[in-house]
Amino acid sequence: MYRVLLVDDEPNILNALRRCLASIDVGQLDGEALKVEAFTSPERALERSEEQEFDLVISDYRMPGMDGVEFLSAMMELQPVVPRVICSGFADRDAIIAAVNEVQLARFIGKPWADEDLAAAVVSLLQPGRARPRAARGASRPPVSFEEASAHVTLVEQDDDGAIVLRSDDAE
Amino acid sequence: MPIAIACPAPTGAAKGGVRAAPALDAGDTMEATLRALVDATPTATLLFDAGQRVHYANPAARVLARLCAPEKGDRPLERVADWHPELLSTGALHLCSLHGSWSGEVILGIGRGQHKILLVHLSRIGPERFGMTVRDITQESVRESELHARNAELEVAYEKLQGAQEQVMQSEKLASIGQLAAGVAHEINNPIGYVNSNLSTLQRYISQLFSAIQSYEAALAEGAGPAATDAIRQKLDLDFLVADVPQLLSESREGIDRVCKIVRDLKDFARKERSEDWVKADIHRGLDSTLNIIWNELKYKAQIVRTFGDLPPVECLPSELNQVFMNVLMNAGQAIKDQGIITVTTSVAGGRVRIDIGDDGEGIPADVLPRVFDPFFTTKPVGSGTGLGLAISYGIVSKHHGTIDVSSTPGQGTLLRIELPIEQPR
Ligand SMILES: Nc1ncnc2c1ncn2[C@@H]1O[C@H](COP(=O)(O)OP(=O)(O)OP(=O)(O)O)[C@@H](O)[C@H]1O
Ligand SMILES: [Mg+2]
Repeated sequence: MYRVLLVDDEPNILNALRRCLASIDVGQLDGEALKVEAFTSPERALERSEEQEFDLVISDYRMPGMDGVEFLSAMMELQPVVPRVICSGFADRDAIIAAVNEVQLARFIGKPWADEDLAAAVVSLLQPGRARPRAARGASRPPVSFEEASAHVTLVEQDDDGAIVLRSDDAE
Repeated sequence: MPIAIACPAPTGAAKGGVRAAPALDAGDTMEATLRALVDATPTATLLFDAGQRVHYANPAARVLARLCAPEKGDRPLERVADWHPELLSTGALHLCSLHGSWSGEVILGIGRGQHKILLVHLSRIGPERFGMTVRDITQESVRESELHARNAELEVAYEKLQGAQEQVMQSEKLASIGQLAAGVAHEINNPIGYVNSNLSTLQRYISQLFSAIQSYEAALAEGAGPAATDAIRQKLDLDFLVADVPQLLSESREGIDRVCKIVRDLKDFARKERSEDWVKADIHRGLDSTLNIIWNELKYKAQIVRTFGDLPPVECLPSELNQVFMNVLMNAGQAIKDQGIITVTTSVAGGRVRIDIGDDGEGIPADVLPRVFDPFFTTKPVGSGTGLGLAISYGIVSKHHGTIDVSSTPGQGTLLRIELPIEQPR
């Protein structure tokens, strides 16, 4: 089972994202089910993340109390390897650049988004068919692998020989 | 007989006047008195005949003569033309003999590119006699034309300032709209985001429904029992779909309504007004649409408490007032560091409409308070505030014959009070 954490202060967005994720065919995820947990409060999402590991986190940028970058940096402390995505209609370029740099975003998805694109991004970030770090985790933290230690873990891909290839967005 | 300019001294004339005071003496005393009077007059006065021969000139005329022809000194000047060839034109003399009098301004060149402006009055005082008074108004007319020039300059400057003010207002408005644009984009992209995504979902749901119908038809044709239809229901997750569709639709409707509202508010807000667009408008509507526009700036920080009284329609330029509300509300939001309350209270007081906008933010120190309406005064970091918000608000409120006042307690909060007349004075 893959666990996805959604955070957005707008419940209607959360519902739409849920519906979109529900449309992903389990066949694309090696038959694993997707379990979505959604929060309108970033603080509540962080509390939950202290007890539950996630495979992917998607957050809004502008939220009361804490913005998406603040939330994702806190998330990074708790769960360093989880791929981080911001989904926002916020048009400020500087904020996006800061987000990419500060929390090493795996993706920035603009609002409005196209369901197929979002679904494809989720599928590719969950990296089905790959040895999943979370599966290797025991009760305590496992030794940090190269992939985990590297901030680019979500941006690299191994080719058939197991070599790491850099993946650029246009190449996808 | 020509009279030399050498005339009795004014002091003598004064004495003569005093001596003549009883005025009961013979006619020659009266003549002496009149003569003394003319001698004492500071206006150059001449008496001459049709041949322009001067019969009398008072002492003030001597000054004028020296002015007109400095090189001639104090020598007797027998004819008017000796004073200055242009002092008396034949045209003027002709008009005077025709109508009894003539007055006009005469400009005399006095050499070295200089000139004198004289106010000349001619009167016919006998068949062959003319009187002439001449006053030097060069200084006055120089001053006057200077004044005219200054005035014209001022008018031009005033017009320029008005244009500049309009431009500043417009660009401040644009700047504040620009500031808002990111927020508004966010506010619009959110509902568009989920409505758009919901439509894709709906499309999937519908194709699921179509395949459900097909499966049912097939099952029906085979005469299948309830177990088969149950299986179809479960396979296509119809129960979930049936429950979700109404929710999906109502959420989408909500999103579209929100976009419509934002667009309407923006239109209300950003309309460029002409000065003739004075209308009787609902102040509450202006406050509401402005609050909606800047809601995304405020909602992360502030709770808004509206206490709206009963207001009559107010004669105003609505979009300009909206700009005032926006500036004041943005300031209130910016004064709140983490979380706070912004109060918007309206009432009628003393025949005027009162709008109080309060915040429980950082407040304004006493030394800053008198300066907040100054153009370009800002305490905000470079690049984030222009310091024009309140200056422009002040201008707009004054244009409405209203007042805007600020009171503040540092550490506790600030209150901006705007009062507007219900009708504009005619
Ligand atoms: N509600 C308030 N609370 C505290 N200070 C305020 C408040 N309103 C205004 N001020 C002070 O008055 C100054 C001038 O306000 P003004 O709106 O004219 O300009 P600004 O807000 O600095 O810049 P701009 O409005 O152009 O972005 C502010 O910089 C701030 O110091
Ligand atoms: Mg301001």
